[in-house]
Amino acid sequence: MVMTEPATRKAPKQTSDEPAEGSVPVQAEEMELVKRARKGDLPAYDDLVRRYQERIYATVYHMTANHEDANDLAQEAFIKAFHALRSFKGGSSFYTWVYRIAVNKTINFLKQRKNKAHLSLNDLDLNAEHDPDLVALISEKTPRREVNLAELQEKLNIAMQKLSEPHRLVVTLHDVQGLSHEEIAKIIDCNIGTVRSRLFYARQQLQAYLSDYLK
Amino acid sequence: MNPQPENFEQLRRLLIVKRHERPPPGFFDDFSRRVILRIKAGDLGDEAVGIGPWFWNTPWLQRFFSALEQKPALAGAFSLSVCGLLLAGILCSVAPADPGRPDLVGGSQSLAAIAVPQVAEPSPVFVSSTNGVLPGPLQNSMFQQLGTSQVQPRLIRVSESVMEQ
Repeated sequence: MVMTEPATRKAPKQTSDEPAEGSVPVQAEEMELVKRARKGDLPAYDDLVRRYQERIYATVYHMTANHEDANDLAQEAFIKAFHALRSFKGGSSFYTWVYRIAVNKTINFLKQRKNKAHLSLNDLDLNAEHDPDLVALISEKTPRREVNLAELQEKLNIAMQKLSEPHRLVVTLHDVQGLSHEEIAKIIDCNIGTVRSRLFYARQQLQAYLSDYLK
Repeated sequence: MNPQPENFEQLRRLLIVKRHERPPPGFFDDFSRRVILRIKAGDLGDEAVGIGPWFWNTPWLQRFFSALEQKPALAGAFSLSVCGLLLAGILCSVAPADPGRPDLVGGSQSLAAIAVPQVAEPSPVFVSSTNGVLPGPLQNSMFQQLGTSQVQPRLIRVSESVMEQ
């Protein structure tokens, strides 16, 4: 029995910094940068890094729950991508390709790090306290309404670390980063059904781990 | 079969917390510069270290090892076949050649005979280290040869006339 997420569920709203995959001028500009970088033009590659550094870092950070590890891995992913640019055929966008490198590197790292997880969490930004959804969540009259954001953040990260790497990855890419199922399928090189199935099970597990906060 | 629709709305609202996690201020201002500096310094990341990157960039090998991890029976069968091959290899290398088979090396020498050199061992003579008398007469000793030989010493007479010259 294969359990998949209901197809009627709407994909999360894309954040403003999502890659404009359908945007031809942006892709053309990006391909031009890639061509220049392939010839050793470091300023061109610097431009590419600046475009995607936040998203790559964030993905690695949400997977590792450790700022220092995320910093190292994100840098190494970009370095590896630079040296592997010759093998980039342009079949996918540069964004998807570099994402795939970062994800593979992170999963490799996590397999080696197994059972040695050490949280080094980033601070929450000031907007967190004014986010209407979060305000509603912690001010609801639940048995845990006294919970503060920092505690919630820690519990959430601990719960995320309990998920297997493939499940954590789809939750990170979809529910935290806001990527679509199709984009995730391209990045992790599997079909959309697998992405939906993993997302469903990951959410079920997270819901169980965080039941105190979801009453 | 699809599962019953579950309400993950609250969970998704909770996960919003993670979107507000930010690295220290100014972290991204310097990020690309550090990457470029490492590239200029010839840093290959972890490319040159061990076989790890090669392994993780080889999809069929990844799939094979993940299959081994997930299926203990497959792992057992694989290890048995590896052991079998190893055993067969060892047996083939030490077994004497079949006399019925044509000799690959030539002649009547078997592979084993060639591989192990035959060294003629001297017959052991046990002599006590505390006994000063040898158990038997010395054979072929140098003194015996001198005693039994018929060689006469040659006398060279030096004449007086030669001495005078």
